[in-house]
Amino acid sequence: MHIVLIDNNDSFTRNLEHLLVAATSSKPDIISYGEDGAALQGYPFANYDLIVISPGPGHPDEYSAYDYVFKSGKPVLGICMGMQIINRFFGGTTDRLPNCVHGKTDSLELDDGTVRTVARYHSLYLSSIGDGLQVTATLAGSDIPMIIEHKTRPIMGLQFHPESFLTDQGEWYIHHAMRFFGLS
Amino acid sequence: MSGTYTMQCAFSVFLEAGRVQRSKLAALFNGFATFYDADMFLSGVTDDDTPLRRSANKCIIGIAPVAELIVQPQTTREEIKSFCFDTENESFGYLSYTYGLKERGIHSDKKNDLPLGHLRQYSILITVDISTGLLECSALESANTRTLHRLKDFCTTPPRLTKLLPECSEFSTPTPSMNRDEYIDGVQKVLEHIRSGDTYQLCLSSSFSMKVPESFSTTTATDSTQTSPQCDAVGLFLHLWQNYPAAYYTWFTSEDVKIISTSPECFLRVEEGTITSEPIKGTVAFDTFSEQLLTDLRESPKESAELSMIVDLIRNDISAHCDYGSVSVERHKDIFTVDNMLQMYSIVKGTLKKESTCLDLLFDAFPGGSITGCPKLRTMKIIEQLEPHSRDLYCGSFIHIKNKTTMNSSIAIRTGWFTHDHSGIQLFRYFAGSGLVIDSVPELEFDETIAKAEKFRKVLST
Repeated sequence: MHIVLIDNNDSFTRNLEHLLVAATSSKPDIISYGEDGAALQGYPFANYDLIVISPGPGHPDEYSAYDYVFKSGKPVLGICMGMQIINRFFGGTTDRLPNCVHGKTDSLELDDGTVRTVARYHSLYLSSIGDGLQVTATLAGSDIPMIIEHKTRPIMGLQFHPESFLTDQGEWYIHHAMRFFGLS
Repeated sequence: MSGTYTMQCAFSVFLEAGRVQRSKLAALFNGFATFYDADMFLSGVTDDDTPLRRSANKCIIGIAPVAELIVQPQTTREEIKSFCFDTENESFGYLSYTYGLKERGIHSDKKNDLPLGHLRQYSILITVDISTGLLECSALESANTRTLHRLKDFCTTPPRLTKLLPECSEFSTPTPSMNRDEYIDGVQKVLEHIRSGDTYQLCLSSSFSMKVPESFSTTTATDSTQTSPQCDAVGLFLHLWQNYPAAYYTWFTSEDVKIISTSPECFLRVEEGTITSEPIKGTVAFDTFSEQLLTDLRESPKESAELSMIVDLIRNDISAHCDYGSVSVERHKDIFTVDNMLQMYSIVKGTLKKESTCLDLLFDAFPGGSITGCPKLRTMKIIEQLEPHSRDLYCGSFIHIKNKTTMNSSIAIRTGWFTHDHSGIQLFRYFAGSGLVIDSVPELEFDETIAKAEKFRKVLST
């Protein structure tokens, strides 16, 4: 399994790296988005089985260099900003979340009715969902999207932080994504 | 060069059976600084001082430097590693927050009083275990034997107790770099950045300057006007050490600047490859202690979130040099007291990778996440815009490097130094700040900053 992790100048990327190793036993390559995403252009994504997009500060509009990543057709898992970047690529919008939440746990309600405890760090949320994407989990008792999946492509986004020590069984979400991608 | 020989034990003394009185130790340390121009890294927290927290209780004193490295903008990480690891000598000193800005590519034009970093190695090292009273002195072969004899006499017959901080004219009322309105305005701007997702937590600080009265001496040179007791900088340092115990006191001279660090916070400790960090977040100032205060602090959603964010940040910052699967969180939301404040903390642990040194770890994790906020890079850029002052050494780290897999470091908070303004007037500058999150109330954050600055103010000014 070859994984590449794109770091949006975030401070949780190494936590995500350790989580990916724990869940998949493979060590990801890490590339930095840098100032303008120049490193992504021409990067050999075709050599990888999975692309992971890290969390990051700001608004997804600041991360406009991801087209090349999605055009690779490879499975993409986006965390927090990574999910917002996915949504942006498919035409969805991201806005300020009333009562934003950082460093706290909340309950996540999956489509099958199960409830799980996850760590939230987000000022913004998906205010409309991009074409071809669907919401498969929301914040319990609300409509705030917590997991999105593409209907036909191997693309998944998580609004919460599986790599946080506050999330119960963070590895479960990596396995969940791998099952969706048909990689496990 | 003589400094490459291994240290040998020169002498050891039991200062007293069992725990030594803090005042006696202060008098001894005062002598080390005054007569031997020592740099001092004093723990001074015993189990009695802080029942809620275990901590190191070793004091380390460096005398007669044999080598030093002043970190310049062009100094590379390799040069620092070479200074620390090419000999068996232990290295002490600091790296400033400004060094951290430079390493992360954040440009700053602000004026600094101190070099980016300063490390020294000594021909004589004294360690004092304050819970057993054992003083041990080790020295390089090149150490001056007369100095060693004098030192042995001095340690065997410790000096009489003197008043460390006699009455002297008061320092001026502190002038902050941001007054109440400016600080509160800064907090509002940070909250707006948090709502936009630029940062989740940001530590905003203010600097404070006091004019030093002429009767106050900041030289430690032995001009021995011993007849009339004089107020001096080292006396102030030891007065604070004696009366306000904390785990990471440091007395260090860089060029002509005398630095007083009274930090309670460990940044990174590495013991034979086992990494420990103890981030502190969540502060409650109190007049009378009660168990209820502990519960309130632990159950406060705001304070819990502040600490949790930094725990995730520290996990991240050490993970680059940790074995996979080795990073863990212990004692989440434990509490200790310092200076009539409750401070909540957690312990983050990890195992240093075989191919990494403790300095690689330090460089990549620097500056400490608890004093930047998160995510670190953008948060530091916002801090640089909002704070009118340079943090300089404040929020950097004092470090003690033993070898590639063993070191200790503090977060240089509750820290100040004696310097001069552009017209040559002598100033004491110190700093304080608070961690801002979405639930922060601007006025309360200002109050927290003042509470942290209080230790210096109440000792020096009315």
